[in-house]
Amino acid sequence: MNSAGVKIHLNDVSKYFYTRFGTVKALEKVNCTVKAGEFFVIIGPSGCGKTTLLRIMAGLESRSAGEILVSRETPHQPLTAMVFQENSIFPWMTVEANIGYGMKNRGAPAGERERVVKAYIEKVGLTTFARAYPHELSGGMKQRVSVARAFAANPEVLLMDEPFGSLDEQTRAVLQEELLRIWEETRKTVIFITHSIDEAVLMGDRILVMSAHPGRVKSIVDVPFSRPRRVYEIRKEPGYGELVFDLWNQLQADIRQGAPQPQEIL
Amino acid sequence: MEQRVAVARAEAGNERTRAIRRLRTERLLSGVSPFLLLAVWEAGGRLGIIDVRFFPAPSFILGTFAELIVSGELFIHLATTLKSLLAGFFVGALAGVVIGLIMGLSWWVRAFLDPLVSALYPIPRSAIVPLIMLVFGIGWVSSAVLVAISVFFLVLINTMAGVMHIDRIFLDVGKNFGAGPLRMFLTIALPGALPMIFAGLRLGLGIALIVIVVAEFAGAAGGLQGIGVLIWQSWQTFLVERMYVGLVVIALLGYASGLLVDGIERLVIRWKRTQF
Repeated sequence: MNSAGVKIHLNDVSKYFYTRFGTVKALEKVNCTVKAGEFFVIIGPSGCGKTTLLRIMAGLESRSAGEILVSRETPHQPLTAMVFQENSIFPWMTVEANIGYGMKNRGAPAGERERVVKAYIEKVGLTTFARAYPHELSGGMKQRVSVARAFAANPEVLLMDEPFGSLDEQTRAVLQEELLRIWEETRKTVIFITHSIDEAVLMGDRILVMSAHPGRVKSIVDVPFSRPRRVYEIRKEPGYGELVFDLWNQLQADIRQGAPQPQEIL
Repeated sequence: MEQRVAVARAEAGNERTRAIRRLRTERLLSGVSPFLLLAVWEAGGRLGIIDVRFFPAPSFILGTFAELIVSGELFIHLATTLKSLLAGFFVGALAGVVIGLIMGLSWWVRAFLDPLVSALYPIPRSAIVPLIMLVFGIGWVSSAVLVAISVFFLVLINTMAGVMHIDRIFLDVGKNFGAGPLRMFLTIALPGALPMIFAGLRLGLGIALIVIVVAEFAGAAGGLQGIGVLIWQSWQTFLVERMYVGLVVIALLGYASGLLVDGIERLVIRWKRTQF
C-alpha cells in the first residue's frame, strides 16, 4: 500500500444499476482515503448511494468500476463487519450466540470466543440478557447486540449503516455515547453512514459529504473537536453551530433537487 | 381519594373473577360436547332409535376394544401401522427438509428440480398405490414408501418456501460475517425455515394418515396387517364393532402424533415462544 497510516483507498469507485427505465448511476468515481483508526462519517441526502458504497465495501454488492484497497493488519482477520440499519440480529440465536457469530464462523477457539463475547456483552450492558432471545429485547438493546457483534468479529474495518436511525432520540443518544466509548477503547477504523448532521459532527473525525444523482464526493470536512466527546456537551464547543450550518448548506441543494432521474451513460 | 382507589381495585377484582369464570365455563362447555354426543348415541342405540347394525352403541364398541386388546390382535395391527408410519414419515421428512433447503438456497438447483416437483406433486397418492405394490410387494414397506413420498413433497415445498422467505438481511449478515456454505445452511437457512418446516410436517402428518389407510385397504386381501386392514376386513365380515375400534384407534393415532409434532416444535423453536 502507498503511504503509512492509510487504511482504505477508494479509487474511482463507480456503481451503475441497470433497470427497465435505463441505467442509473448510483456512484460516480468516488475517491477518498480513510486513515487507520479513523472514525470516518459519510453523510448525504437519501438516494446518494452511501449505503450502496458501504455494501460494496462489505462485499455484499459488486462495483461497476474502480478499486478499493484495504491495508491489512493480519491476514486471518475478517476484512469488514457491518452494523446494519434495520434489525439484523438472528431471532433464533441468543444474545451470546449472536455476538459470537463472526468468531464462530472463523473457527475461533471456544475459550477465546467466550471471553470476547462476555467482554462485549458487559460493554453494552446486556449481561443479564446474555441468554435471552431477541424477541425479549427492546429496539435499543437489539442494536447494542448488533454493535457488539461487529466489534467482537474484530474486523480490519467496521462498517455502520445508520445504526441508530430507527431509535428514539434518547435511546439514540445513549447508544451514541456507548459506541464512542467502545471505539475510544479499541480505536478501530470505522466508516459510519448517517443522514443526521448532528450525529456526523458528534461521531466523526472527518465527514465526507456526498451529492446525489449520481453519488459523488462533494467535500471532505474535518471535525476539529477534541475527544472524548459527549452527546449534548459537544454543542457548547465554539464553532459547532458554524460547522453544522456549513454542512447543512452543502446538503440542502441536493435534498431540494428531489427524486432520482435515470440517465444514459456512455 | 383513598375511597376511589378502593373502588377501582374492587372493579379490577370483579373484572378478573369474571374473566376466570368465563374461562371455566368455556372449558366446561368444550369438555361436555363429546360426552353428550356419546350419551345420545348410546341412548339412541339402546332405545332402538338408531340402527345398531351400522352404529353400534359406544358401550359395545368399548367392549370389543377390550377384547381386541386382551387377545393382543389390536397390537399386531397397531405395530404394523406404526412401523410404516414412523419409517415413512422419517425418511420422507428428512429428504424433504434437506432437498427443500438446498432448493431454497441455490437458484440453479431450484431451476433444475422445480419442473420435476411441479409435475410429480399433483399426482394423487392413491393412484400410485398399485405401482408401489408392484415394486415393493404387499407389506408394510409399501405403506411406508407411500407415506414417505406423500410427506416428502409437502415438507419439501414448505421448506423451500420457508428458506425463500427468510429476510434477505440475514443472508447479508451471514455473508458479511464470513459464513461458508455449510454455516449458511446450518445457522441461517435451517433455523430461519423451521416454522415453515413444521407447518409442512403437520400437513404431511395429515396426509400420511390418509395414505396409510388407503395402502392398507389395498393390501388387506394380501395378508397384510395394520389398522386399515382391521377396518377393511371387519367391513367384509360385517364385524361392525371391530371396524369402529379401527376408526377410534386411527383417530387417536392422528391426535397423538399431532401432539408429538407440536411438542417437538416447542422444543426446537424455543426462540419463538412469547412470554411464558
